[in-house]
Amino acid sequence: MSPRPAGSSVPQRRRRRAPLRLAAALLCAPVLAACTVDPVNRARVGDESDVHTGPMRIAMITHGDDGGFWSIVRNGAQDAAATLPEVTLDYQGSAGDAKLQSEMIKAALNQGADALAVSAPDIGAITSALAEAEAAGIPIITLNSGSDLLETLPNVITHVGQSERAAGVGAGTRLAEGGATRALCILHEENNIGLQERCAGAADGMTENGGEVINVQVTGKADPRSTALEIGAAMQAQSPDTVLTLDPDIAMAALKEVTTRDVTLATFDISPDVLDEVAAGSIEFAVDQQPYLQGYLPVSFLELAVRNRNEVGANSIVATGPSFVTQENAASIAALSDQGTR
Amino acid sequence: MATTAPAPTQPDERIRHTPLWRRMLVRPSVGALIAAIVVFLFFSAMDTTGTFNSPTGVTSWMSVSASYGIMACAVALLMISGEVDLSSGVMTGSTGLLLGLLISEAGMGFWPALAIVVVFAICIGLLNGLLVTWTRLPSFIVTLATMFVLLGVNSGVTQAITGQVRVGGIDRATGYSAAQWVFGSRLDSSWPLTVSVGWWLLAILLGTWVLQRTRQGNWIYAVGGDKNAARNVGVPVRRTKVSMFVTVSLAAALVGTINAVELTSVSAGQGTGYEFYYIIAAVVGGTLMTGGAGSVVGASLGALILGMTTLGIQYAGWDSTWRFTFFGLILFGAVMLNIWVRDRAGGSST
Repeated sequence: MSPRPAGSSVPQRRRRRAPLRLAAALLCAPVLAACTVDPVNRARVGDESDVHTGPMRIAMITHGDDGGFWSIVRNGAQDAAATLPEVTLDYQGSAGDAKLQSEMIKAALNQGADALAVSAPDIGAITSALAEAEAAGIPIITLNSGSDLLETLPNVITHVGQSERAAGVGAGTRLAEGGATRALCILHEENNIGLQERCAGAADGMTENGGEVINVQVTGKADPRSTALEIGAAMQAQSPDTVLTLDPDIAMAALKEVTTRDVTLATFDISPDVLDEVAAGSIEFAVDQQPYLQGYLPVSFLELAVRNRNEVGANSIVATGPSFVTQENAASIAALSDQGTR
Repeated sequence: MATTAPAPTQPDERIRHTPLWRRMLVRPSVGALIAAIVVFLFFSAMDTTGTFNSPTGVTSWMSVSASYGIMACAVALLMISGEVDLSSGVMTGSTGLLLGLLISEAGMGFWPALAIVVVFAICIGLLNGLLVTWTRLPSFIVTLATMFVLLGVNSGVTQAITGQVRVGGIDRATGYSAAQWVFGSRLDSSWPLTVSVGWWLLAILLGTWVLQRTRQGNWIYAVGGDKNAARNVGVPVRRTKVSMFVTVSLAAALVGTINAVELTSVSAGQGTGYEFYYIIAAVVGGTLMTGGAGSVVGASLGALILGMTTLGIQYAGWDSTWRFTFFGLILFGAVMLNIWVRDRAGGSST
């Protein structure tokens, strides 16, 4: 939120030219439709003279906090920026506050960002900020959540993340192939669409192979002790052969209940404890969405977009998951987890 | 406080005779007892698995109730003395996290770490109590501030030290096996009666003894009933209230320790929002929001209702997305029943 530093000539030039370019794009689009190779990218066409050389700034503004998951995303982004010459990374997380995220994006644009990476769980709240980015004509990549923007914003090149539905299908199919017929899907948060999608996907994967999935809502992380006993009670009520949790902490809470009952446990996302248990064989597998890639790839894709006009993904998402951590690869991934890259 | 005078040989006609059943029914906890029985019968009837009222089921929901119950006993004492503590839920997380950090990051043994946690809990209790009595601000405001400060500290400190939002590895502490026996043992896997239930019973006995049999207990009722009247007859109002805040913090340390030992890891969000469950348990059990009346037995019955509902919904196989709606209806019903029973039985109660 600090004012743009004096003497940064590149951003000033960009800003002054932005309305002109937008007007040109608007004129060009209907009249000279043929002049655009790809209509989605019309705002940037006709700018060959503007190929970027010298220092560049990439802003990555996420809705993340400083927790385990997002610190790996940030490590990925920082590592990518460190390998690229003259690239400065401006990483900020709004900890779930969409309005703050909107302000952060606007501030980053004022400071002269040449490219923008955003996670967008709440697209409506950051629409105006993204419109400013769009007007500035800079390339945008969404990460982790917000793949819908790929359809609606011309400057969005691609989305880097995991489709929760696809990840759920992957987990469900894998469980069914391992012989599961009746699985509990443990929802540990209310009103989280991503978690619902995972369970729905798992149900798709299981029913295709003749199994079924029952969703169970539990208290969650505020009271893991109660959550563990609730999972135990639900197992007694539903007698499943498999339990699928959507969070590593919940997986650890479920573990004690599961091992006394000869039920298979699998989970989404990884933590050091979960990796230990996967290596020991008490957790069947963990679905990893590879947060490091969600930080690393947008930075490197955006650098290519600004410097070399490359566009990755052909207008669809770049999937970072599901990747499966099993007993075979758990030990090697645990070593990397200690470094904060897995 | 019903007193049982030695039965005179010649009944004094000036004293109205109150039958035993009526004296029992006006006790604040009886409404909660009836509500608990109704909830028990309800979920026994709804049960699809035949487990809810089996030994396995009973011990399961007793274990869930225990952490509510230990806190509800302390919170009831504080509420009787006329104050509330909104930081009590978050404190169960703070104390667990501190224990975990001292063990896994500072490499301390379990028992020295626990001693520091106890000192920390006493300090937070003193802070809450002294701020309330010195500033004369409502405890709602003061402890709301403490709650938010602790909430930030919980996740900020944990992330700064571990780089994650959780602390693990508590089972690697020296002295853990003894600690597990004291705080986290379980009778049997199919009979999940945890030692936390024992701690809860201890809290009930201790709380009841203090309230019914000690001078401190009379003071607690007095300061909550009428602070000025209490001060005029020489009750140390400030000391009584501050000691109740410390009691709640110590109870939170106990629950935080039980959680940490049972699960061997603590996440930063633990306990957030739970202060309301403790208050609800106390109120369902007949503790007045305004202070001066209540009992730890009643609060414990309230906690039992919360625990039975949490697991009862799972045993019933209901769509658990609706659990909060069930919660609200059952709690409202329990309070209404409580009031109705007391009005029918006693006319004027409290």
